[in-house]
Amino acid sequence: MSRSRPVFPFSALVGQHDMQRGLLIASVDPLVGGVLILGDRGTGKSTAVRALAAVLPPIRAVECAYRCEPRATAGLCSRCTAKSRARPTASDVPVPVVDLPLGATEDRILGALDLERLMVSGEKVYEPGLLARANRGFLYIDEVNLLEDHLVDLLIDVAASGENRIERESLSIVHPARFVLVGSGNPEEGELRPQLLDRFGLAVEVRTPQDLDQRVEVVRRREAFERDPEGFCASHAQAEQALRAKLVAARRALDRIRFDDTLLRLAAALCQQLGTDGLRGELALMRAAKAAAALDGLRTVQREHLMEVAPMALRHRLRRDPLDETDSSARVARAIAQVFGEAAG
Amino acid sequence: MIEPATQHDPAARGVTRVDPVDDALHALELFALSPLALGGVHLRGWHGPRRQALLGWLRGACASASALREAGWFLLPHHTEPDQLDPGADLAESLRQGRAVIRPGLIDRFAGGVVVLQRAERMSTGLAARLAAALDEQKFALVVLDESLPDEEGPWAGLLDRLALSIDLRDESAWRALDALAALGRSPTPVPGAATRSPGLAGTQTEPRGLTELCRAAQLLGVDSMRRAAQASLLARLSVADSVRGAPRSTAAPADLFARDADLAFAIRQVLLPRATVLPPIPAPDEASADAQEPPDVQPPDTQPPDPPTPEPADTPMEAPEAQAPPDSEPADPSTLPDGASERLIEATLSALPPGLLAALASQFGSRAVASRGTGSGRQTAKGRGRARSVGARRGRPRGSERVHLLATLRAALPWQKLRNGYALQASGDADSRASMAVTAHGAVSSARLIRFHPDDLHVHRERRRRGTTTVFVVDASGSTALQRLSEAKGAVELLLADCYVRRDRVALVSFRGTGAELLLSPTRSLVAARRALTALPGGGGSPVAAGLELAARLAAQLARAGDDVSLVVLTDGRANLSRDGQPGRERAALEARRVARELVPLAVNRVLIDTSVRPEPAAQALAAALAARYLPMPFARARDIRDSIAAATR
Repeated sequence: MSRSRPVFPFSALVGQHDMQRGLLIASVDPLVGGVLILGDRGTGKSTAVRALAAVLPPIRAVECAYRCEPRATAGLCSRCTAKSRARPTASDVPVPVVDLPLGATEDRILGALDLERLMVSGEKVYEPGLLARANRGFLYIDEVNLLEDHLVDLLIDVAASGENRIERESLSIVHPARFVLVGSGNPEEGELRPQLLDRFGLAVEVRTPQDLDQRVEVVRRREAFERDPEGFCASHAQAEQALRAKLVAARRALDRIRFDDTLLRLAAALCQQLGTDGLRGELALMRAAKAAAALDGLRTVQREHLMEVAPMALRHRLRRDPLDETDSSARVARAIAQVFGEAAG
Repeated sequence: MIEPATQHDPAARGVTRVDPVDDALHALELFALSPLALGGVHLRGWHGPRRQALLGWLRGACASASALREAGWFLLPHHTEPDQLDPGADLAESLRQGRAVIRPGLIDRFAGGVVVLQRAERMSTGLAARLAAALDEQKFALVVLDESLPDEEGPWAGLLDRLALSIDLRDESAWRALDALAALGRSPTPVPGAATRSPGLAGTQTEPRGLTELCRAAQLLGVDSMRRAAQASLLARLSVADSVRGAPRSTAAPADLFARDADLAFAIRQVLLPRATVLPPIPAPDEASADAQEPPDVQPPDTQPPDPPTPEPADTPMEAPEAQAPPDSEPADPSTLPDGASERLIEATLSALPPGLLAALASQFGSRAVASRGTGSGRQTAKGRGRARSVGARRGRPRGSERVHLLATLRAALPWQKLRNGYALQASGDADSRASMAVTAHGAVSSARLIRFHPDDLHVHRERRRRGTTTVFVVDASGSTALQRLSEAKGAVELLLADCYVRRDRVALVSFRGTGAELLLSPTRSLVAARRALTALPGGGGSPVAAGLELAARLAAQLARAGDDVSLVVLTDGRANLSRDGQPGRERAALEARRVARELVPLAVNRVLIDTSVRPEPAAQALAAALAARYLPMPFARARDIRDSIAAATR
């Protein structure tokens, strides 16, 4: 989708701290595994995602359909792997943010035989789909909980493996499809399949602000933006630049962030307390805490980081007990208080 | 006591009674002037002269507005396939020209225009979501025609959220004036001089006080989406821009470009009120109508004294220049706004409406509240209802109503063309070559561009079947019920079974008694099996309600995953006395039952609880409340009556 209109600046978003933080963490460390944004309608979920894309620094990419990284040796498409010695020309491109519309066809998502080539020369050539376009970027699914099951099935495999494997229509193709999955939806309209839920590293909740000042400010900024998009963006350009610099620095620092043994033990205790299934919760928790520390410009993860990201990393991984009415956020909060309280005392 | 609003601005629209038709037409007029910014109109009501007249008028207004004259007016059927909206391969043209021809997407074709979406309540969520994304980019404006019944699920809420205006044509009294015109085959008066009018939003603004009032009004009316407040502010600004259109820009005082109370009230009426989920305490309609002009004597006395002085300065022109400082320089200062101001604004807004309309609004609100509680996550299961939807292609010849998937068929055939053509040339005249079909777009066989299809190239649309409905009966066969009512309950269920059979719905039967629950009958369409299971149902023992509901919940979740809509009919007296672990104890058992019941709410689209006790039982009522179910006491009802009321509830 081409976007001629300027995008609302990320730094001009009002409130919704969790959502902002979650998106930034996921873009500092893509391995955290994407963000699920759950909440009321009209809270600016889509706006935030598009704004994030605009603030991200461009990536260096080879001119191929999958935007392969020029210096990488693994995770390349077949063509770039074959040519890896040739050092192809590369250029800076914006981080792709690909929308996956609810009504998309399987062909459009996975890619299919290129009709033109077929008709003109009878050649079987694979035409990449949305998953290919999202490689090294973001795949955004608005109303992800309303996605048809057969499309969810396609995503579940790709999101886990980072590659799109096609065996259909006499095609046999594998191409890289590493993307940060960002989904948004209104949970009242339908539940997500647990398998897909698990593919999201973080889950954040957004609510309509109940504070009048904040509401007014949201509407005021939206209006100011609508009235003069260019001017509005220009007035936030500095803040955007600062945010971009912060992201770049955080990414660079990420590998050097240390995690204390005591904190590791606390993280493990927290997961145990909550009975989250498998290791994925623990991994997401630790990665997110590291990214949060990197964003704050620190070298070691602090207890606060762990406490901050624990709700996002764990709330969607709790086993549901039909007889326990407390919502998952409250349960995580309780466990945090327990585990961290004990550690303190 | 003088009514505060009149005191400030006697000409305010909000005070003198507003004619709903005029008011709505004014809103539509502004929409015609600036359609893309407002997003669109949600038009409720069936096809008929009234709707035709209104649409005809709107089309005229849009056509005379200069910006829209070229962009145009389009119709979009509800069964449009979502991929038509974006550019894609044009098959017929590609075949004819022998190269891939890309057809433009509908969204690009509609650019800048007004699109009328017909029977929007029937469209798939996929289509609605794509349209909503296009609205976010202001590609076009939508007029959504919604013919849903009051208790039916309307168009997808995510799409409606992006439409600023909402007009309900079902209200008989309000639209009488329009009907009279329609009967004469005439339209309302066209917009005067629309061609020369521009929305001219540039200088207008809703200053912080007005913005705060709109946000507060949204909060008071329970309108949660932040889009609504923004839309209301926009409409208020359009209203201001429109009111100063007569005067040349230079002579219009800067203060004239601020939204006045009248504009704010108008925006509240047209944007916020139709979406209200809470009605703040307002003067009763009867009192309002008795009091011809000055209704609000019933105002709470404590909010009144501080009210009048404070908002006044902002209203008067002489204060305005100060407030006109650079628009984004200062955030709203809510401290200047007394708590009662927005309430007063809403009150004035409400009391300006004719009493009949207010009553209609109140009742509409009531029914909507019930409906939204009823659907909950049933919404998800209802998506794409009705029609089979294509979810891809599979190899095979079309059988029955299956449709050929052209694209996939072509893809299968094309790689073989070289081979097949060579083969066909060699074997021309052979019986074999006649078995392969040769087609060109002209129907003529030409050797130049010929595509040879073999039968096994054929692909058909893989369709997801229409969602079925399964009715799950949960029958309490415990001692307390068994003695009194079990046979009657069985009778009612049997009649319901017959109904389900007619509708080709499936039924399942869960019963609970003694220490646990059992699935007496897995979902089936077999009437005989259902009847047999029911007759064999023994009675007596404890009442483990929670266990029964839990089993029903598991079953319902399973059915929902398989794509069925679930209706739930619970027959019980609600007097639970066994908790799930088999421990006796009424209090704990009842608590558990209510908890499980709440879990069940999102799993079933319709829920009915039939109280089987002799006289209405509070425990059953509490359970029905937890289940958000329709509550039907059986005592005085015969089997047939129960059947009828359930049929009405689950229709």
